[in-house]
Amino acid sequence: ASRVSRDHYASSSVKIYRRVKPPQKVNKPKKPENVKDGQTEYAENLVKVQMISRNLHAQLFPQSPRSISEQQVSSAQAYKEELRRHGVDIESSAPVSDVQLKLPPLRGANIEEHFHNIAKEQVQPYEELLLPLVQCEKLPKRPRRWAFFAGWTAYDPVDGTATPVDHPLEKGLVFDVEVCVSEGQAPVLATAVSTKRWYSWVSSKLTKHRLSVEKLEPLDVDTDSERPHYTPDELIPLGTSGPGLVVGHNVSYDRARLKEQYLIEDTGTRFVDTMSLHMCVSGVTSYQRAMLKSKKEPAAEDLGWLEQSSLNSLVEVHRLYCGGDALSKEPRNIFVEGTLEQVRQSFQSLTNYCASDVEATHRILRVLYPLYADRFPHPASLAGMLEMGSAYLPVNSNWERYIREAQLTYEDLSIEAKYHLGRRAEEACSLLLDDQYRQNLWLWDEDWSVQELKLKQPPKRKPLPTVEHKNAGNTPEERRLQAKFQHLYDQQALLPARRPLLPGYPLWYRKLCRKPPTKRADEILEDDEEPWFPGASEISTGMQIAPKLLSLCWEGYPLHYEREQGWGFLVPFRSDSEGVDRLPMDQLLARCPVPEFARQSASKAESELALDMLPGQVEQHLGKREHHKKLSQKQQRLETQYQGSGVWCNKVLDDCCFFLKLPHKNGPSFRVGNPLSKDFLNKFSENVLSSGDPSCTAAARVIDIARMMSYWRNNRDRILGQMVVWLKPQQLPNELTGENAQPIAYGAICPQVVACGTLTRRAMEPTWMTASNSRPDRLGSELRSMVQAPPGYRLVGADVDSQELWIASVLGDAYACGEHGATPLGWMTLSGSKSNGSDMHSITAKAVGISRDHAKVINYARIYGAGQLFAETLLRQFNPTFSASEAKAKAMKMFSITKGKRVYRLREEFHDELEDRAYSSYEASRLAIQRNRTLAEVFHRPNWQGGTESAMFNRLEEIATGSEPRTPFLGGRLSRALEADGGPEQEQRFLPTRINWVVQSGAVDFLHLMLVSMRWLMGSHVRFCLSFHDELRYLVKEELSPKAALAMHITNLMTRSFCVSRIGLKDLPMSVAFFSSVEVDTVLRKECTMDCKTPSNPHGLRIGYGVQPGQSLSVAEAIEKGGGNDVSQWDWIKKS
Amino acid sequence: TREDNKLQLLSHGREYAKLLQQHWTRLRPLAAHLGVTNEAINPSNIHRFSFPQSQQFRNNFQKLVKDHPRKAKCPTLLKHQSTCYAPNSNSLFGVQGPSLLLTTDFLVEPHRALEHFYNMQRESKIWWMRISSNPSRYRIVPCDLGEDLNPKDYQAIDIRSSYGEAGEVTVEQLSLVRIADDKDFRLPDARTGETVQPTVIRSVIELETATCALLLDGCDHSRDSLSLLLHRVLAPYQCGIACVESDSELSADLADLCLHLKHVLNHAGLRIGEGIGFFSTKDASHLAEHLLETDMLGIPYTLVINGQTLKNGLMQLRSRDTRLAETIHISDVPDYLFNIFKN
Repeated sequence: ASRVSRDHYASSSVKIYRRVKPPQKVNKPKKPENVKDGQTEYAENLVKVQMISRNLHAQLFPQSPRSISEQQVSSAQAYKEELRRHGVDIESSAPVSDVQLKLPPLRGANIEEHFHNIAKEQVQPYEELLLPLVQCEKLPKRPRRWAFFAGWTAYDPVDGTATPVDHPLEKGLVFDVEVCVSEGQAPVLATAVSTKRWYSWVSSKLTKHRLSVEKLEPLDVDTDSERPHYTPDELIPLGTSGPGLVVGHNVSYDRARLKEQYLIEDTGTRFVDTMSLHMCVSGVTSYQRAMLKSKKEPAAEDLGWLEQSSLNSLVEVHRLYCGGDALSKEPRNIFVEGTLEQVRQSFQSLTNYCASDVEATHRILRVLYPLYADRFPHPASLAGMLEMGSAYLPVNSNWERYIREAQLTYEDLSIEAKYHLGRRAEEACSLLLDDQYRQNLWLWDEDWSVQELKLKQPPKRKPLPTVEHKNAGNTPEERRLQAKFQHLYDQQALLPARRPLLPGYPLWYRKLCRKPPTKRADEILEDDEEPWFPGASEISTGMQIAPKLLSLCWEGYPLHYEREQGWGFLVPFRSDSEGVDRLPMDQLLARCPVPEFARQSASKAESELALDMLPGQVEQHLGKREHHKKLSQKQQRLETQYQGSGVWCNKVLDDCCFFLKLPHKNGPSFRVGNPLSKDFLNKFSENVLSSGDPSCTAAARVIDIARMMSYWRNNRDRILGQMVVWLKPQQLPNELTGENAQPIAYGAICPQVVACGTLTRRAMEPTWMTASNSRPDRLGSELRSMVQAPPGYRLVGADVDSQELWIASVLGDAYACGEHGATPLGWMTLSGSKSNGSDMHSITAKAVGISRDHAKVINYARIYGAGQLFAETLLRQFNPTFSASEAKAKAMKMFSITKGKRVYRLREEFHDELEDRAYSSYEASRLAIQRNRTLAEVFHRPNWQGGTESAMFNRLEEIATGSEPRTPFLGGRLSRALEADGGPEQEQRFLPTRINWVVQSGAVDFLHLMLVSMRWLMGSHVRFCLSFHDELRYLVKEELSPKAALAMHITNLMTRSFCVSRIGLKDLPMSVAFFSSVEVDTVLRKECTMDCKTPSNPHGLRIGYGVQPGQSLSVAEAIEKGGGNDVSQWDWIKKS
Repeated sequence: TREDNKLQLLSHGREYAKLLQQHWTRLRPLAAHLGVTNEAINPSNIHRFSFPQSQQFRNNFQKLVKDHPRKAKCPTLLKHQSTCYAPNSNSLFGVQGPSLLLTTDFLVEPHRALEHFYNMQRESKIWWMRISSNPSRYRIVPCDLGEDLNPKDYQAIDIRSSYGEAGEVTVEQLSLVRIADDKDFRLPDARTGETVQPTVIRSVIELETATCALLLDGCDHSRDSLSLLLHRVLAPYQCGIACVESDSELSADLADLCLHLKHVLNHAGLRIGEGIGFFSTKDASHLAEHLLETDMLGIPYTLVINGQTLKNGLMQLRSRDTRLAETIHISDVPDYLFNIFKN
């Protein structure tokens, strides 16, 4: 980006308009021509990026007809030059078909007004309910006494008279639910307040002491009786006539306990979450969160932001915005630890506690909402938050089946793994014979000691008690022998009271075994814990012995465990075993001869080590530091020669081999506790970690099993804890209960989404928003596909293709050139393709010499704000054979190609003194020091130059370093915690976070806009399901699903048009105008053809669950199936 | 040639087959046992789905309704055994026929048929895994149905045991058939009481083939010792007795003690070697040889006694799998051993 092009920033007012010539057909025979009124629809811009069809442009940018100035044409030459320099061939992109659509008329003069107006319309009914609450200075008086009636009770604001009601009379409420944790997740009591009066709700479980809760049994699968099953009747009704508005702190928790939220039809109630508002206004980074949690005295530079923020709990948030006395949370303990009976006994005080939380929430709202409204002025932000808070996941009895299959498969696999380990342990036992274990590279340092069974001395005088026999034998001969050996039986009394376990077996093995039962197996009662098996029944992959039994090697060296360092491996440096006692040196050398790097040091090392060790041995008190230093010098030398990924840790065993730690993902100072854990499972495929015993097929299998199980093990509790509410037949639409309906149970999950849960205002939810895609080697990873639309409904949605990349690149394009695709990054994003290697990831991969997938990860990391050092770490992680210098060189190269180099420009006051040109950072700091001034005093903020992404970074940094950073699309402000003015040092400290915030928070704006647009196009005909990462899904009646798909495509078009308009561009490239496809499917999955085969779903969705593949509709297909391209004629749009 | 590949079970093998058959009987204990028929059956793939039309299936169904009225509702299980004169062969071996077919028919509610089918696959696979020395050798292989069969009405899988590069053996076949509307085959739904047309899931195991597959499994391991790793519950001989006499005067007493132990173990229902049931030697090296032999016969445990045992009742319980011996007391016999073999 040159200074010249800066002048062409699209807001520049000087423009010379002239008509564009239609593209010359002779030269471009490929270009599609859909001629209408004698004019082609095709359009491209100055850098040959295809733009949206003419008819679309005319509808979306009515005030900005396409035109090109002379100046633009000349600067386009410069852009093209720059593109060519970065290996971009602008002729290489293939055109796509033009699209004819008649959109509904914009609500306003242009796309920006349009979105403002429709968002305003959408939030208006809710604002009308919210604002009176915000403005209400004094809530009605709390009743003196709460009525102990099941269901809702309303309290007269004057005299407190209690009247039972079906549900609260007003539609705007501040609300809080309490749950008795020991009794499950259903609510036990709740309080709410409107501007008019107080309400309380009490569960019938609490009022009826002996309530026979009706058992729900319509489930057609065997349900796990251990897990509770909820019905809507246990939940709190709010009525079905919307719109309604509920305010709460972490309100999604309360929402999940509202009855009507589970109905398939949306009732129009929306939720305002004070916690989300707080995150928007004062959210913190994870680092800051740790600081807030820490008890330590804060550093001076942290004081600024610490005043502006708090943790998320009601108490902390209340303290931040309202001050005053801290809220008491003590009564809460009864809900957390107590029983229903205890809740009953303290009913009045607990309801008061609940009501005081409602009051606190209201006080917070009064302060916080105006702050929020001020900082997030666009109505789409609130509209989007309300929509995000209404997520809905329909499930059916397949949910229960999924859980059962996953659990059973998990058990089966763990039994199998255990069995293999047990077999290996049994086999290893025989190494005790003739002390063979001394030669075993893995088991030599286990405890092989053996216990003996000895009889006590018989008492001198007393005879031993006689052991009775139930059956002394059937024949005289048998009875004779029984009598003959009776005295041996009587010696039972001489056995030690505590019998040693398995006398004759090595200690390590005994530790893996359980004591046998003292009773006979057939006398043991059924429910007497687990049945006893002989052998190593307690073994598991998590144990320290497991990697040893599997004879695991790292880079070919045997694994070894040291208490202080954790897991590592042994590398010999001596080629003889003389004087080595314990360690099986001959075996080690036979397996892995002394490697070159160790050999070089070995000749010296022997003497050096001896010297090193000597002072240590002779004089324990000798300066430890010096000793370390010596070793580390030698180590330094070794380290440079060693090419593997082990970590040197200053450890030599038996004066014959080095002990190197396994690399831990958090860095070299961490110790690896289990090489069979998740982080290492992938290393097996790379042959870095493998079994050193080629005949040990068990090792490969055990590792496979561990890999399969890890997903379920890590997510099981959250998945089992999902609150599924099963609907009763009368709560279902008629189609699902009719004559021919399948006898299947239907239910729903209201995922507990925090609408804005992070600093960047991304939504958070622990189960669904982090759910993995289904993978054949991940047990239970078909989770998402278990969200299944009821018959007659479809899940419609799409994945916004590389959303963040586009946001970042379009910011750069608009800023530097005012033209789509005019920066190399912009062009690659819009017109590059994976297939011909012209996309960003392929180009960087090629330039640096790494794989495209790896380049992709690093590219994203960079755009998210990660630096060169991080890229280096990633490179080494991807490819352990890279040496440190190699990785460094590659990362450097990559950054200079992409980010470019940093250049400094003099401040005007120094122009007389020095030449006004670009200075490198080295030059700049030297000049500053010479003048005894800071860098910032002499120079402007530095710029990036010469890289494919320089323009983007310059724009991002410009936004991020502003005094009031705002998101580019909706103008939302950065959290106060990062805004707090802390000087340039502070700015630098949070710069990566702020840059990341620009893009990610921009993506959140984008999502909120999409939600608003979908609602505008489809009205109440779609129900929002879920949005995670870049995906968005709606529940729609089957017959409307093609229209919903088309609406998704149009939503993409309009949202992007809005975004580019906001940053000064009045046109949109065709390649990003529509989704590449919109999925119309019956289940939630990334792509509608994925069969989601996993270990727990071995037959796949189609055969195993009878789920057919869905449809994937391009915009053309959606137009065709959705009833033509005149969207303005859709019934509900015509009417409105 | 084909004939060279034919295997025939000898006495130990037949004994093992018998135990396997008993083990099968105990699997899915709620089934109605309909005994043995001597009809000739050819279980080839072509007929895999036609069994509901067979007379034998018809008879079984009537027998269920008549003899087991309480079990005659959906879901229910039928077990029966029949002789097959042309057993299937596989890539590894054939079995000298005739062969005993162990058949389980699972009659289930049609709308839950697939779920039951998958459950049964899983259960069966686990059953094989549990009685094998290497549980990882089993896999479920779906059968290609061809175009003309609707997967909603017909499904079939084989459970195969794999022996590395040598090949695979089908140990069990599971097939699901939705019976065409037939008023003769109707059962009440156990849950709702409604009369339904059950869907049948059939499991077929060829006893001799399965026996050979499991014996192969016992030998196919990577240990250096030549053990036959039979599951302790199915081993034809579970426990051997060996005694080392260093002092000839004691030999009569030791023999008596061996005999006594044999009685005790027999009483407990444990299977011990034939003949006099114990081995005795004066030479410790002979004992080692003997133990190698018992390993090769797949005997999981051997009680080793010596002169000392006569004094204090202490003896060694030597295990085939660990090749180590544990010291136990005579008063532990037989309960400790009983517990070992129970599960």
